[in-house]
Amino acid sequence: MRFLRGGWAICKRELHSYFVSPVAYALLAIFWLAEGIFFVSILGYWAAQGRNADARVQEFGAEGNLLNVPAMVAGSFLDVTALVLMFVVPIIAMGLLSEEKRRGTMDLLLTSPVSNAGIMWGKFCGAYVFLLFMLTPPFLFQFVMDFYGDNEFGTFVTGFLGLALMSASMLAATLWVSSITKNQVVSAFAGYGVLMVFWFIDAPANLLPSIYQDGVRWLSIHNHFGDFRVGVISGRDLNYFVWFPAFFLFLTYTALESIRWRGVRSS
Amino acid sequence: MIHVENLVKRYGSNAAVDGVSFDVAAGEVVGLLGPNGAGKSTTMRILTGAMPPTDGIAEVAGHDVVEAPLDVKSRVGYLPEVPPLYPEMKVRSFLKFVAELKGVPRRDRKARVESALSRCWLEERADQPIEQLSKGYKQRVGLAQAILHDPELLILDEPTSGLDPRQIIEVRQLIRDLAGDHTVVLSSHILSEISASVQRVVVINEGKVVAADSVDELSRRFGGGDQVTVQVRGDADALRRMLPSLPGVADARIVEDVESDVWRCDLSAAPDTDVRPRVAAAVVNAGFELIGMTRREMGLEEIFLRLTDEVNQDADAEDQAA
Ligand SMILES: Nc1ncnc2c1ncn2[C@@H]1O[C@H](COP(=O)(O)OP(=O)(O)OP(=O)(O)O)[C@@H](O)[C@H]1O
Ligand SMILES: [Mg+2]
Repeated sequence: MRFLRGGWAICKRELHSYFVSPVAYALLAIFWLAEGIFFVSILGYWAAQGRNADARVQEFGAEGNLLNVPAMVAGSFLDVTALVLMFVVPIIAMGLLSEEKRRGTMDLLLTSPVSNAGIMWGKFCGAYVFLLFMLTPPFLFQFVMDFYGDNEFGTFVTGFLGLALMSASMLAATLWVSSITKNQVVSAFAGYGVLMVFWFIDAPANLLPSIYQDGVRWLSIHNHFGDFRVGVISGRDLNYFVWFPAFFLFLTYTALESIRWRGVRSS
Repeated sequence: MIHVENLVKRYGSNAAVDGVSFDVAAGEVVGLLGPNGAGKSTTMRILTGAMPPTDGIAEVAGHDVVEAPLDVKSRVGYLPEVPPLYPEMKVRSFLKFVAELKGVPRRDRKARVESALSRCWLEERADQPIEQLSKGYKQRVGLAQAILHDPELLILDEPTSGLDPRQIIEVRQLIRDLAGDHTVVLSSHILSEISASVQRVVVINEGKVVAADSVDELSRRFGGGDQVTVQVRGDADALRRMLPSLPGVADARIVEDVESDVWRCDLSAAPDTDVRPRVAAAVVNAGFELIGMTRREMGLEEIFLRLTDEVNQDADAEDQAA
């Protein structure tokens, strides 16, 4: 564990700091409230659609095309949550390294027997555990549907696995942004910028020469979430969710190396 | 304990530290002194292993800061210019975190934290969030985190700057306590602020060492003579003619005093001479009324200004020659 020296202490401190931060509490409250509202509306919408479908079946006697309401709810809810995460993650990550630089606590880390990989890992781990904590109640919402006698537990599990992987990717990218800024607000907005780029990068794919199209589509984050939300785990997506964060963690590591080498400007 | 040789740190083409050399023996208390931007913080940061030098050697207890950073870090406690504190944390949990970060073995952590708390007179504030503390207390928490892993060497960057006079006295007292069993290097741009705490001063200006000696030796060498102020009633022109010609008077400036008709004469005496009896006799003999006379040793600030000015003038001369 020499490679990650200091990581565990940093991770614990980071996690602890979320739980004494008013901003983090506000974020938790808003996130859970919004997720609750989305879930209830989505459930209401698909339940109504389901009743309509049932009625049509009764009326016309069609067979086999009953609407799978739980699957529809899972799909819509997972989509919404993915989008909400894109707005949440930059806020969670904004201060991770930029604040260390601004407050001067980076000096403490740099003069302690802590490795760059340890700093990087500690920061990532603290924020990620907090994110998973955030995602737990929305994961439990599905059990509401058990009351209606029908659930898509499997879809929810793969869906939330996808969300967890996707938020790790988003976190890695925004951690990197935080490592090259010295102001949380700048860091948050630049983080949105980076995530939006990787969210919408496939939008103009059709306009590109066909040999680039697949590559550009592969880069897009949400393209790799689509299968998870319908209960499918593919190697292609897993591959992406390993390489994407690995790439940004590497960039973060490089930024830390450069900070260690050049020194933070003492303010 | 410290060996620094031809240390250079460049930012781009601008050298913040430009060939600094000095040594500090174990147990010594040394002050790094210099005006803003002299390169004090940069030198200290290199010594703590916070960043590598561009060139030159910096060693702590025989370990090179670049080659053996971990050996250096375990021996150095560092208080940066801005104490590195997490405002939302409570004092004790912050110190626990630092203990873990510094690699204090788990079984010793509690004892180290409690001992740092008591050495820095922080017990009563131990469970208060750091953001609620006054500046002086924050500085103490900064000192506590520096001594936490029981380092041999303390590097304190402007430990008393920005504090009110009472807090300055407290922190100074604290540093004096710590100096008992640590080697200490502290920086300041005000000599009088550290002259009470340190045995030796290294004066830095524009990245270069301009003097390194004990405070007494510095004042003897650069202090020159005393400053004597004489208040006299009488004819100013006659005074202007007489005073500078007195033996032992190096320089005389005569200005009107607040009292009308009384002249204030600021004299600089030649080194190691007390000109007061001579001045008094001369003034009285020439028929002036002697109203008052005070003597002041050349202040440390003036020595310091002189030292740094000399360097600047030399540099200017060089620039002009080039
Ligand atoms: N990260 C940096 N990048 C560029 N220049 C820097 C950096 N850090 C310091 N400098 C420059 O190096 C010089 C020395 O700075 P340093 O902070 O060591 O001075 P100092 O003696 O500590 O001054 P002060 O009394 O103001 O604290 C200054 O000119 C400063 O502007
Ligand atoms: Mg400084």
